[in-house]
Amino acid sequence: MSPLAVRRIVLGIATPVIALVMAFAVVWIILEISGFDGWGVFHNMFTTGTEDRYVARAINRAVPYFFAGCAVAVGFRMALFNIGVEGQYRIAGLFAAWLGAQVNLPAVFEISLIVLTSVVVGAAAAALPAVLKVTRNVNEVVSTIMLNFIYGGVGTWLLITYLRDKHAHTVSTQTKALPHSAYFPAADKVLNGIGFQVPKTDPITGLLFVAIVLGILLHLLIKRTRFGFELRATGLNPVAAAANGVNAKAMVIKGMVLSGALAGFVGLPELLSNTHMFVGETFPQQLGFTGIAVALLGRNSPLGIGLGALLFGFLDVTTGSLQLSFNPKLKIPNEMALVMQGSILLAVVITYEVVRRLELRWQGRAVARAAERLAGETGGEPGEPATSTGSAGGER
Amino acid sequence: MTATVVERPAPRAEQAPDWRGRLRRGLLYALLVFVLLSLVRQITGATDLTSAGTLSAALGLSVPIGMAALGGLFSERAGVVNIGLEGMMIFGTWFTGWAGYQWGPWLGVVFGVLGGALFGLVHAVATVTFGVDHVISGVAINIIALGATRYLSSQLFVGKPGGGVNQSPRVDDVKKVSVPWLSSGYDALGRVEHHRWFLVSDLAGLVRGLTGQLSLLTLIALALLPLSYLLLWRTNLGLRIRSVGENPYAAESLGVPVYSVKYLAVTLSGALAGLGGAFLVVVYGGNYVENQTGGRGYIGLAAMIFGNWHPAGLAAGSGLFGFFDALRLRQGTLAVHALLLFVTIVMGLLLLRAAWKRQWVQGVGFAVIGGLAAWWYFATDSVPTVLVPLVPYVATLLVLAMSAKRLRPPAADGLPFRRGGGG
Repeated sequence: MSPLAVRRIVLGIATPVIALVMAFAVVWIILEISGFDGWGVFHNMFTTGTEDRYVARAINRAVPYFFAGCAVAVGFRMALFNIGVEGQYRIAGLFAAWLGAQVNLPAVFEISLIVLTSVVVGAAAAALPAVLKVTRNVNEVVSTIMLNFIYGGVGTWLLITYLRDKHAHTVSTQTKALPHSAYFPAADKVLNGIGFQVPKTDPITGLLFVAIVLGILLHLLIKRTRFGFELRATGLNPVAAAANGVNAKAMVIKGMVLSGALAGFVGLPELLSNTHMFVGETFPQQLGFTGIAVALLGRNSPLGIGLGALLFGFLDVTTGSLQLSFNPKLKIPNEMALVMQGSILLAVVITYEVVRRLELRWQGRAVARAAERLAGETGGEPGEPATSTGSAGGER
Repeated sequence: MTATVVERPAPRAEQAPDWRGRLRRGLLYALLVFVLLSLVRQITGATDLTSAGTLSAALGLSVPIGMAALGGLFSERAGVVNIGLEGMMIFGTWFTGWAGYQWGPWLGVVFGVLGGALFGLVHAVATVTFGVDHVISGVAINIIALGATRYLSSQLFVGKPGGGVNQSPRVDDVKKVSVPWLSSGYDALGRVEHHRWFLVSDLAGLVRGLTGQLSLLTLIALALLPLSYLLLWRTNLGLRIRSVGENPYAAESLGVPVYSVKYLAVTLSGALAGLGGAFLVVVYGGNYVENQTGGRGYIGLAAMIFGNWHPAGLAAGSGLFGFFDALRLRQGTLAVHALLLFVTIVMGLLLLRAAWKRQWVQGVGFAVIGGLAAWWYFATDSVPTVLVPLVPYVATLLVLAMSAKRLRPPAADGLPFRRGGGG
């Protein structure tokens, strides 16, 4: 193995660690300034975070984060910014919950129907900004943000006027409850079978396995298929991709539709494992934006996104547990989770960029050295290749 | 060097703009829109469509959007895409609330501007020094803004009179001025407006809305538009900012300190977004409230794109969005319902034009949108209350879809730049 390859592997492991250390340093400073006990908070988070029930809760929170992260990452891979996952999963969840409650099929068909509806509606919702971009040149960042507001408002309106369960005597507005055949089996049996101890109070959603399978499929799709290759090529160099016969417009539509389809999964844990209905007031919000952070954290790879999602889930549940603390030095406000997630995000983004630059410079130097050696062997002019790679080496 | 010099086609240069023609066309469109609105007002009886109250609110609501748009203009003219305007605006609102309730509105505004500038600086550090993708850095700033302001509120506003986790104590308003006799006191325009004469009353409403009860902050914001134009197109610094956005390597070769110029422009961009946020708190809200910006940073960005990266254009765009925003606040459901008729007529006109030019695909699009609007208008009496707040967003999307094709962003907008990387 060449020294460059070794260094790259070391960097690959070290980078996320450095980024996390930086992020936690920032959070520690913020905590200390606000008068909390920084070390105490971290220590407490770690001890509670490794308790079984908190691990289970963190996983349950991580599953939708993972779906949202994947949805965003597909777009990012081709430099397409789907900021609209937020609106897409909400409207998809609404329609899936409504349609699923209209029928009562055997479990396999019932669940398939709900999943399919959610995926199709999510894909359709994402297709609109894609069409606007391709035909009318509307920037997808702006259009998806506007559509977040629009889908949210239209969803609320549809729920209140048409899709609501009119016989429910509750303060909240909700769709009819899904039949029992739509309850997704919990992962507990399988996990207990392979040696984990899932606490009885906090069952883990079976969608965890769906997430894992989906992650593997997505990895294969991006790395092993022609579509994935074209996707990455468009993201890396759209001009070169177009010159090599990639249809840029078709790629925008396909990428966006795939992203929206994945967004359709985000609301499923709530519908299939949690409340089993779409409650207007409590259906999870902001998952689309968390998904952006998770995708960036995981460098757009399914494995990374999974780890990022777990980290965010961990932060959620452990800061939540600190609320119950009797020690005022540890009782940090709930909002601290958001601040931590934000700082981690910025630290990670900047660290990765710096490391990428460093790597480029090392590559440039290695190439320059190899060229010099080659020139020495053939007796050529060593200055010539060294200067031509000099610009790559000097890139910073 | 060989002797033969290949004649290359000139790079797509900015065509010498035909200002007078453009101005004339713009005014013509504005007049047409005004006459149509007056007509719709007469037919539907939705008096708030052109009332002084609506237009005054429209002017006020265009200011935050316009300031965000102006912020976007400086940043993107220097080649840095700034999707973080929303976050900078959020920080502007928070800092204004924090300083404003303690030391009065003017210091509040100063702190709002500084708060926005601070996160403009963060965006500059991330994008210029570290070369992070502009959209990613911007999105990160928006996410941080949400969490950080909520955290800061929980630390600094809870327990204060009127303060809480999601709002600050009260902030006083700055002084408002009116033109005497015309819009206050005798109120000549108000009297004319009261008669509901076709066009005449609408015009009186328009002028009265623009001259009565003007906040001093509004005047400052309005003055910033021509000042920005002068700065960007009539000074050396402006030329440098624009050259950095068009071709940073060429600018660098001429000795322009590209990094410093970008830093300056992006920080200024944050300051302007912060000013927009400060305006929301001081003139509109009366205190800082969570989610006060309501996506106005993004709408400002859209207004700037609609305005083709130019102060005059973005002023028109902001005015348009401010108007839609104001409509939903006054007579909400009724005015928005009347707006459907307006959309129908506009689509009808566009359909005629498309047919004249034989652009059948666009024609079908106009016909579909117009048909839907007409069906909605005639089938119902008012628009559901839940949907009224969506008007600015739908308008943004529609207007962008109509206009985005003919736009030209700065050539190096959003591209990474490395010192000495031009080869």
